[in-house]
Amino acid sequence: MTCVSGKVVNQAPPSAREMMVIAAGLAVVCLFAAIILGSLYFVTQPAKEHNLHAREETMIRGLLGLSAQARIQEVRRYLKSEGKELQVIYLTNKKLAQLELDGKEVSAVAVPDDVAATSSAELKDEWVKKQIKVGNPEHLKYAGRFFIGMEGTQPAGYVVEGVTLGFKNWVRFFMAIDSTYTIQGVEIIEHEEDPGLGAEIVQRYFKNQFAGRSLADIEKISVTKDPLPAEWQAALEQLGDMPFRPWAEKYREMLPKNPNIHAITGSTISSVAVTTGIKTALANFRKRMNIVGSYL
Amino acid sequence: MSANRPPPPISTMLMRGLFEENPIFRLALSLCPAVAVTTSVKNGLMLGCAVLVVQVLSSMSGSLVKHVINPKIRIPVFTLIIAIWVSAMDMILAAYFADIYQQVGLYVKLIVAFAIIISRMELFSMKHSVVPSFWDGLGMGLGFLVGLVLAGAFRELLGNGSIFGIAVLPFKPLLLVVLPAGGFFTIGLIMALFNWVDVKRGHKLPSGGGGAHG
Amino acid sequence: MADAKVVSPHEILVDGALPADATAIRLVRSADADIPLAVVSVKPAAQANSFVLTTAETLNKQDHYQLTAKGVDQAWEIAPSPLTMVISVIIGSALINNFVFTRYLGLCVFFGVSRNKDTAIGMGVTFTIVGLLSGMIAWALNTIALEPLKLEFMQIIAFIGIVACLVQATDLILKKVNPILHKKFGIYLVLITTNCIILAVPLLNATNGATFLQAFGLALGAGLGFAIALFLMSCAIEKVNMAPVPAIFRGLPIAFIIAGLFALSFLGFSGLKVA
Repeated sequence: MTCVSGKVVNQAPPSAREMMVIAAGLAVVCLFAAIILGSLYFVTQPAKEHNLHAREETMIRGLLGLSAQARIQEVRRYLKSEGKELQVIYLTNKKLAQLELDGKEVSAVAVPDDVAATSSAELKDEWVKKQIKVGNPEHLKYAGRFFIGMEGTQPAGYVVEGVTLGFKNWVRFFMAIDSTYTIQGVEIIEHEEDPGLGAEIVQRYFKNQFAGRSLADIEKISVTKDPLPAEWQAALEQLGDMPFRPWAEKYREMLPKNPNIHAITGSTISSVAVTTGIKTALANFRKRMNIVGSYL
Repeated sequence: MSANRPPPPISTMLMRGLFEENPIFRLALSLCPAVAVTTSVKNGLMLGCAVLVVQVLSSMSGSLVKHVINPKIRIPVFTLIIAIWVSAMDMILAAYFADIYQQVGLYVKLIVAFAIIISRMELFSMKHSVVPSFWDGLGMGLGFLVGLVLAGAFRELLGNGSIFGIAVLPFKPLLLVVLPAGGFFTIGLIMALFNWVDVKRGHKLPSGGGGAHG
Repeated sequence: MADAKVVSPHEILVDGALPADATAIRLVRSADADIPLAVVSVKPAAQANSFVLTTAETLNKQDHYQLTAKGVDQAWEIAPSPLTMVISVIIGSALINNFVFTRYLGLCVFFGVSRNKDTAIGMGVTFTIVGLLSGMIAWALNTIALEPLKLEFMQIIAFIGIVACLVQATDLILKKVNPILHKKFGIYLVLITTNCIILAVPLLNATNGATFLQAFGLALGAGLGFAIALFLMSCAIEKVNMAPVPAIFRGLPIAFIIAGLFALSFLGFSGLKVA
């Protein structure tokens, strides 16, 4: 490696004309590169988005225990901060609803079929930006989303996407709940925690502790440093191999015996972060459902 | 530079990359991923394959265009060629191998800064035609791949009790090995191992040890 | 905008006039601006014209909040100050996520140059300066041209191009302006191009969507961290080269082991938070 760099250093500086020729040559190669890569981009980008979407869908189906015929609907939330009052905007499959914070409707527009059917977040956001006029594009921002699993015309459950600040950086998760706001499962999507320590939040023995908790349970829940009982751990490892309802039936008595979340050894901060994140996400979702429920 | 030298036999080229001139453990080039990515066999395998492909394609491309390029700009052009292949590799991995890409993504992009690829192009592709360049690139790439998988296996087994995600041990022996420090220790130990094998074969160790830096 | 900041997990110190009625106050997390946080009480603070808000929910010093009150024209933005943010990014990339010991980047050059203290310092200084410049130029190019035109796939080529040009330009300029300095630092300049860190910094900035200050902090911290790592390593290697190391370990193997020991000690910075 050193001999390679030595060769470059010992050459005499090129003349002006030589530099022009060199620059032109490099520019041609760059252009060539841009064309090759640009075409490859057009081919691989849709595949990338499709895979991302497919992964999310698999996760949601697994969390909610959906049948093969069930469909997943995405509801995106935006915030419009122009004007006197803040407004919240929801994009469902049927309606684009612009609402005041107390739920009063400002406008509701029907959503065209192609926008409703697309899986591209970009397309949806662009369409929303066209419908809602703002003077400064910074004033209309995407704020979050949740999913509804539809069995026929009935919602089988909801999956809320949340973020929380972990030990190192933000942790993103999916939280699955049913219509009574009881948690059915948690999946950690993204994190930067230390392997073997904070990264254990993705393991079943931690994240499945939230399954089966009701809204009232979660409001009071706290994190304990007590060791995880072996029996409870064996039960927790089963959720995932078993869908939620049979699992909750089978281990019904164990839940009240373990009312708090057992922290991961050596990662109390990560454990508390995820617990707080779940609490906030659930409470916020309930408040938002009161407002957006009628548009679903 | 214009005349093609007769290439060494294929088996020599392949074996060279695997042992005598193993990029990681002997030439000590492109070490960054060796430590970073070897937390598991899968990661090591994925990045190793990516480097193999880029190495082979770059060596071949370098050999193809060596007559056309003004010698003064050959380093920037090599860098551009490598950058093209790396960007292409990056996009393909991101699209079709998304979960592994999440872990090794940054290092795939950094392949463009690997000294091994550009030094191979400079040392070999410039003097040989396309087919020998292919074998040389393959040898080096394989050596790199084997190195990554070896280190990855060591660290995954000791740190996680598994190989390729399949749990082999019922417990995690030494978590330290999966952390950054462990990566350094592992590479150092494997390098010493290569040196030891060398001594056993009767070669004299270079006075500075198993490294190429003077 | 008047001043307000988070002083404890449940308290905010606000400069300015607030009504005594907690229900008239609206506090939200900027990202969740449609959900007001529960304000438990408003009390006058020790300083004049300041109040302390107590909340039921836990507050995060690194988060953004907005505060308004009925009947008060003023609005408050609660966010970590830019200076605190830059310092925490710098310390983050220099110590907590040190590019050499935690992210394992820049190793090739690292092991080659850390033979003795002088070369280590020379490389460290050269790298920090060039790294900072190239990081900022790359950030500017990315923000102004690549992202708006959806040319992200050209990032690798663009960034390595910037680094190569900058190194070449610095080499030429230094040769003309200060030949002595060029003689001393010239060799390090060329080695910079194959240093993974110099490419990693703009890539990380692009992936994280960094602002100008964040990009500056990361680039500076990366350079400083690299310089620190080089210096520490060179001190250790100088001593080790005088010690009776077994033959098979001499040279790189023992250097790696030492790097591992340093990495272990840097692990102690993990989780360090500034402010």
